[in-house]
Amino acid sequence: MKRALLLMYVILLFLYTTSFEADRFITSTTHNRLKFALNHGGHDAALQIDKGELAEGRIVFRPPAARAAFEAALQFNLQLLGNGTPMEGSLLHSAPLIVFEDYVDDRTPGVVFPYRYVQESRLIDKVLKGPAVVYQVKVKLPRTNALSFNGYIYKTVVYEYPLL
Amino acid sequence: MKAALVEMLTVYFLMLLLFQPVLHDIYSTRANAVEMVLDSAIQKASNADNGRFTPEIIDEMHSTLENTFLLDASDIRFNGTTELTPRGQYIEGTLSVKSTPRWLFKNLFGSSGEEPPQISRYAKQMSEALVR
Repeated sequence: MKRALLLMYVILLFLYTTSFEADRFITSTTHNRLKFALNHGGHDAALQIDKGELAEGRIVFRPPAARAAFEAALQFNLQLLGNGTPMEGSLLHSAPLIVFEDYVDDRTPGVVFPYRYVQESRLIDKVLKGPAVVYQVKVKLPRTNALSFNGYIYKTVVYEYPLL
Repeated sequence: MKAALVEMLTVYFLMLLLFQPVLHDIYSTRANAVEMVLDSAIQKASNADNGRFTPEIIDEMHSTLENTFLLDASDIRFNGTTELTPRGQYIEGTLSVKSTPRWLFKNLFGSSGEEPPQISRYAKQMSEALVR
């Protein structure tokens, strides 16, 4: 009897540590992959500039093209389908959501670089050396068991236009 | 008989409790390593100086995985854009390494026992290179 109780305790402990371990892995992997995908997306979006303005020496983003490039990068790097939902068997379980986007460039009024970019409500505070795109994305953290964290993680990317 | 059965089960679970977390840790470290190595490589590859996965970048990936994460050279496979790609076009890369065993007793909980033999990660990003 004593032995059976001990065994049950050991099994429960094992299940708990295994699910804890799984959660740790899922959480760090989601954070990493989301950040990498955002970096790639920010990079691609920052390349979408107006060629005519560039000829005049100004770097001005084209927001619709930049947004499209950002979404395409998320789709490629997070294994999403065309409609933004994750593929079967991939890491994420629900579609990532772009909650904030902003463009700071040479046409933004009152901006002189270096420029301190602050969005207090979104916890963004960054000194920009040049024109940059800003995106914030939220995604539901995949859950592995009933005790997993049930909520969203937020990631921000501030990517400056890559000069030559 | 009863005692023998209990004894066998105890040993079974004790082994799991002792060694299973280590297997998971090894697997997750390897999976994270592949992802990070590929990410830093594609950032270098998309740089204006490169515009593709140059042989140096591929070598660096291999040497990081071999020397830091102690993988065998024959277990690493990389597929990616190796032609010079102009600014605004996509370069992509897939890095796969051999997967480590994830479960000590695969069939204990009735799983089919089929695990993917590779840890494979994919990244795609635009190039910055100016092609004249």
